[in-house]
Amino acid sequence: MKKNKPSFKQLLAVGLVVLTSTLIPISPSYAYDLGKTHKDQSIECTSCHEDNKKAIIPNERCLSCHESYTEISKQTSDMHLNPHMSPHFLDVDCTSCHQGHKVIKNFCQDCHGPVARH
Amino acid sequence: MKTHTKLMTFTIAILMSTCSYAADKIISTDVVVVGGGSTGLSAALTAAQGGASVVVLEKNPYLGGSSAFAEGLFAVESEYQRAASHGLTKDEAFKHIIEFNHNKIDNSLIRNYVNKSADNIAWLNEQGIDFRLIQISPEEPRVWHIIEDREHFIHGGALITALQQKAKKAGVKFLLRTPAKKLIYSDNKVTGVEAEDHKGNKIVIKAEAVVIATGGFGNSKKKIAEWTEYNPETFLPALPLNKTGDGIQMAKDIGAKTEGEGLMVYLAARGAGIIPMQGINAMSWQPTNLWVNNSGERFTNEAVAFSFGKAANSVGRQHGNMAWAIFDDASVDYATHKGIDQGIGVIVPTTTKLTGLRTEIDNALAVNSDGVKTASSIEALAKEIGVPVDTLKKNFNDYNSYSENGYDAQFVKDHKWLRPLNHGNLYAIKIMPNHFTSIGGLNINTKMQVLNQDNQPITGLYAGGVEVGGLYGDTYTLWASGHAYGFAIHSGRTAGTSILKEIK
Ligand SMILES: Cc1cc2nc3c(=O)[nH]c(=O)nc-3n(C[C@H](O)[C@H](O)[C@H](O)COP(=O)(O)OP(=O)(O)OC[C@H]3O[C@@H](n4cnc5c(N)ncnc54)[C@H](O)[C@@H]3O)c2cc1C
Repeated sequence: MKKNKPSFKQLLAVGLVVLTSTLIPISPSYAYDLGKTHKDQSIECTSCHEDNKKAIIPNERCLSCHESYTEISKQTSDMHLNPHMSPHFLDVDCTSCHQGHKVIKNFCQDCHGPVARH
Repeated sequence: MKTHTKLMTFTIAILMSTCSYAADKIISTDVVVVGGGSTGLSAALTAAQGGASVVVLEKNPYLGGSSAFAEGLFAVESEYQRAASHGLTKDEAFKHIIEFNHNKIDNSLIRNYVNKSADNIAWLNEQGIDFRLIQISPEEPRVWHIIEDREHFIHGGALITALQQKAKKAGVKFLLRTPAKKLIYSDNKVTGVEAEDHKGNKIVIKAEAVVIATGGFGNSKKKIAEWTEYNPETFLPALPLNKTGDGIQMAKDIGAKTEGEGLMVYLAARGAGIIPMQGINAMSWQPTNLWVNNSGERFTNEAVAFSFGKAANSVGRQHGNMAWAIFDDASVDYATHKGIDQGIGVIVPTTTKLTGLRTEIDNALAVNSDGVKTASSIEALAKEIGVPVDTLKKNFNDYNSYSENGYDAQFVKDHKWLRPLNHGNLYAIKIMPNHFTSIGGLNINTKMQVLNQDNQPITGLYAGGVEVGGLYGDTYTLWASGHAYGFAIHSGRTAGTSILKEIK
C-alpha cells in the first residue's frame, strides 16, 4: 500500500513559510475583498497564489500569516454568530467565504439569514 | 464512404472523450471516498487506521453533510442501555424492523447492522464521542443514542469533527469543494474517480477502491421527481445541503442497480414568518391538536404526530399535500406554562415551555402569514383558512364532543390527548411534509459492495449511508430512532474493513 504522507518538499515549504513569516495582526475591516486589502499592504500575489493562479489556495497558506482559526475567531467574536467559531464545522476552506478578488460570501447565511457586521 | 465517416466519428469521439478529461492533476491512492459525511468519514478512518492511504472528496466547503446536523444513532444492547437497564434485545429489534417494513427490505443487511450496532457505538466512544440515551416518543423504544456536545461543537457536528480530527491524524487527505463527477470503469471494475475542484481543475484519482457516500438526492427537485413518487414542489428539504444524487447517478451510469428511492418525510409548519424548528413548529406537532384537510374534514388520529414519518404520510396524502393543525388559547397556555407533550427531537425537547410561542404567532400574523391564522369562532376560522364553513363546524363540534366524552369514536385517539378546544381564540397552522434526506438507492451486499444489474458486485466499488437500497419499505423506520445515522457509521466501517481485506 502507498502511504499518504506529505512529501519532504511540501513539509519544507510549509516549514519555511512558518519560519520566515511574522504573524500579522489583521484588522477585521480588511475582511472584504482580500485581494485588494492584501495588495494595499504590499503583499505579493505569489504569497497566496505561488506560481499558479488556477491552483487552489490551501488553508495552511492563509494560516501561515493569520496563525489559526482560534486567533481569527477572536476578531469576529462580537458578531451574533461568529463565522470563525462554527458549532458545526472544523477547518472550513478559508477561500470558500474569502473569495480573493470578490466581495466576501458567507455561506452560513444559506440557513441562518444575514450574518454581518452592522 | 459511409463506413469511413462512421470510423471518423468514432475516432473523434474517442479523442474527445480522452481530451475532455485531460487531467490537471493525477493522484494515486489506495482508497478514495466520495462524500465526507459520517459514512464517508467512518470508511476513511477505518481504512486509514488499517494502513491504507485515503483521499476524501467533498463537494461542499465543509465536511459533514446532514450528519453534521443530525442528532442521534440507533443501537441495541449498548453499554448505555445496559446502564439504563433497558431490556430490548437484538433479536426483538431485528424482528420489529422487518415487520415495520413489511419485509420489503434486505434481512441480512439489517441483521448485521442490528447485531453490530452496539459495537459501532463503542467504536465511536474510542474516537472520543460520547452519547446519552433518549426515548424519542411514547411509541418507540429507548434506542436513540444522542451525540453529546464536544468542545464548542454541537449535535452531529461533535461526531463529525471528532472523526475528522482522527482521520487527519491517520493521514487521510481531504479535498473540499471537489465533487466527484464520474467513476473510472472498465470490465466490471472501478479503478478511480474523476473530480473537479472549485477552480475548475480536473483531477483524476486512481484507487484500488472507491466508496460512494454522497448522502442521497434530497436537494435535487429533478431527481425527486424522476426517482420517487413525491412532488418536489410540496415535499421540501430540511436544509440546503447541495446533495443531488451524484453518487447514485455515477454508479447507475456504470450499470448499478437501485431499489426503494424515497424520502425521509417529517411534518413541518409551512408559511411566511414561521421559523423552522421553533415554537410554531413544535406547537403543530402536539397530539392534542385537531387536524383538518383543505375540505375542512378531520382525517386521522392526530397523535400520529408522535411518529413524524407516519404523520407526514398522513398529511402528505391529503389534497394539496397539506392540512391545518387547530388549537385554542388553552393549548397555547398549556404549551407555554406546562410545556409540550411532544418535542422536536432534542432541538425542542418534550416538556419545553414554549415561552416565545405567543410572540412567534403574533409576528407571523403581523406579516399576514399564509401559514398561521387566528379567529374568535370556528366559522370565522373557516373563512381565514379557506375551507367550507359547515364542514369545518361539524368536524369541530364532533371532535369537541369526543373530547368531552373521553372517547374518539371516529379515529380512536387516546383519551389522554383529547382536550376540548373551547377556550378563547382559535388558531390554525398550516402543516406540510418536509424531508430530512432521501432514502433508498444503490443495491449493495453485506460487504457494502455495489451490485450490478445481474446482482453481482462491481469490483472496487462500495457504497453506504442514506443512498443505499434494501433498508426501508415505503417509510423510514422511525421505530428504530436514529436508524439512518447508525447505519451510516455501520456501512462506513464495514466498507472500510471489506476494502482492507480486499487490497491487502
Ligand atoms: C436536520 C437533520 C436531522 C437528522 N437527524 C437524524 C437523526 O437524529 N438520526 C438519524 O438516524 N438520521 C438523522 N438525519 C438523517 C441523516 O441525514 C442521516 O442519518 C445521516 O447523517 C446520513 O449520512 P450520510 O453519510 O449517508 O450522508 P451525509 O452526512 O449527508 O454525507 C454526504 C456527503 O457527501 C457529500 N457529497 C455529495 N455529493 C458529492 C460529490 N459529488 N462529491 C463529493 N462529495 C459529495 C455531501 O456534501 C456530504 O458531505 C437527519 C437529517 C437532517 C437533515
